[in-house]
Amino acid sequence: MNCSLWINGKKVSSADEIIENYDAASVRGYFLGGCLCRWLRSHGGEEIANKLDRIDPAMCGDKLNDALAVAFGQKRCTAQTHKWDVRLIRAVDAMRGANSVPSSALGSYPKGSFGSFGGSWSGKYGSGTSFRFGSGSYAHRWEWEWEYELGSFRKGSFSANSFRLTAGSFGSFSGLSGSFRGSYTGFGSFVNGSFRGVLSTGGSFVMTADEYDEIMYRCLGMCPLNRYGYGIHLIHG
Amino acid sequence: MNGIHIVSTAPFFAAKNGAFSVEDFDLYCTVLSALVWRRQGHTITLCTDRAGAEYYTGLGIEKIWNNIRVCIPDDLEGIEPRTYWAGGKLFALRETPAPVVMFDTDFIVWNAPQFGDELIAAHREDMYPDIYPPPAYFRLNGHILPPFSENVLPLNTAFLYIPNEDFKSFYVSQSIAFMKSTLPTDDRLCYMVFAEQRLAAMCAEYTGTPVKTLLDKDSLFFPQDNFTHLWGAKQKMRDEPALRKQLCNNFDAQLRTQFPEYSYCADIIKAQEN
Repeated sequence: MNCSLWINGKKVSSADEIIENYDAASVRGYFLGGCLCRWLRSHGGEEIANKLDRIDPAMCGDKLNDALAVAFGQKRCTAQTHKWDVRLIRAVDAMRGANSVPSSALGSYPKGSFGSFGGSWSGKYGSGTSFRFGSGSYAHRWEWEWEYELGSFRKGSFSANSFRLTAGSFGSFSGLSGSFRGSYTGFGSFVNGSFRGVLSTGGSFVMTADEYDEIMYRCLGMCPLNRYGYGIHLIHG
Repeated sequence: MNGIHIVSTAPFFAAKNGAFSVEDFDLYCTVLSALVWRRQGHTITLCTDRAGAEYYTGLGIEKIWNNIRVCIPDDLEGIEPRTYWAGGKLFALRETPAPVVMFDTDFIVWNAPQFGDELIAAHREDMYPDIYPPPAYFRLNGHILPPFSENVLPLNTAFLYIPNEDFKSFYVSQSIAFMKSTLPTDDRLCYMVFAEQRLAAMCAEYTGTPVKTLLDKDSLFFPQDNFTHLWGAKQKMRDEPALRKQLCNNFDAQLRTQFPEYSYCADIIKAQEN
C-alpha cells in the first residue's frame, strides 16, 4: 500500500507518525477497512501490525477502540463513541412513512425533479423540541411534472414569454448550473422565482420558473423514462 | 483511464432463492456501458465475486470487459447485504489501485470528462431529511466518526473518479468501518446512501480533496448528450412492460449498429428474454 494515511487531519507516512498524532476514528476506520496491517508492515510498523493481528475485528463496542489504542501505545481510547438519538430516529421514520420515499430493491431514485431551492425544513419531536436539518432543501413537484403525470400536456399554464436561451435545438445545452431562489406555493409554481445559470460556452442567462418548466416538458418529450433517470433518450433505436 | 464495473451477488442471494440472474435491460446497459467506455480508449474491469464471475462467464459476454477480477468477498466480510446492497462497491475500490473510475452498470459515459487531481462524482444530492438524516439517526456499535462536516452535500456515486490512493484508502476505510459497525436495522436506504454517498462528500471535504461533478443537481434532467443513468427507470420498467420492451429494443438496435462485432451479446440477451 503505497499511500499516506489521514490521521487527525494530517497525512502520515510512518507508524511513528500515527502514534504521534493518534486519532481513534481514523485508526478504527483503517483497521476495520482491512488495510491497516498491510500498510503498517511497509511503513515501519511490523510490531504494531503483529499486535493488531491478534485483535478480533468482531470485538464489540468500546473494547475494540481500547484494544487499538493500546496496540499503538496509548493508555486507552479517550474519544467519544457515536451516540444515536432515539427521538430523532422516531421523527425521521415517521416522516419517511408520510413522504413514502420510493426506493427500488437496489437503491434510491428521484421521486420528483431535482429542482431545489433555498429554504429549511424543521420538525418537532419529543416534548415540542424542534430541530432542523442541514441545508434543508427538498424535492417538490414542478408544474410540468403534474402535467406530465396527468397526461394532458396542456400548455396553457406556461407563460407567454418566448424561450430566450437559444435559437437552436435543445441538443446544445451542457454545463448548465444554478439554483432557484423563490417561494414555493403548493403545486410547484414559483412566485418571483428565477433560475440563474451559466452556459458552458460562456455567458449567463436568467430563466423563469415557467421557462424551466418548458425545458423539462420538452426534455421529457424526448423520452418518458428520463423522468426517472437521465440521458435515457440517448438510447435510441 | 482504468474503469471498473462492480457486481456483488450477496444482496441478490439475501433477497431471493435460486440462481443469480440479471434483467435484460440491465444486461443491455452493462454491455453498452462497457463498450462505449472502451471505445474512448479506456480500459474496464468487472470486479465481482465468485458467483458473479461464473454468471457472466457462463452467459458468454465476459469479453465486453478487458478482464474480470474476483475481488469482492462472497460474504462482504460480515456486512449485512440487505442494508448495504451497494457495499460490494467499497470492497472493489479497496482492491483496485487509484487513479480509477468506478461507474454503475446502469451508467453510460458517452463522453468522458478530463481526469486530473479532483474527485469527480455524477452530481451532488440535496439533503432530503428522510434520505439523509443527521448522523445521530444511525445506530452504530462503538463506532467513532471523525469530525466530519454535516453540511456538505452528498455525492451521487453512480460515477466516481478517485484521483489518488490517499483519498481512496481513507474513504473506503471509513465507509467499510461504518458498515461493519452498524447494528441490525430494517432501513434499506439511509444507511447505504450515508455509507457510500454522504461519506464520499464528507471525506473529500475533511481531506481537502477538490470535487467536481459531471452534472449539476439542479439541471439533471436538462438535455445533454454525455451521460445516461437508468436509475429509477429500472423500477419503472419492471412496473410497465411496454416501456421495458421499447427500451430493450432500442438497446438491441444500438448495440448491433454501433458495435456489430458484439452483436452476439445482443443475441445472448435476447435469448435470455425468451
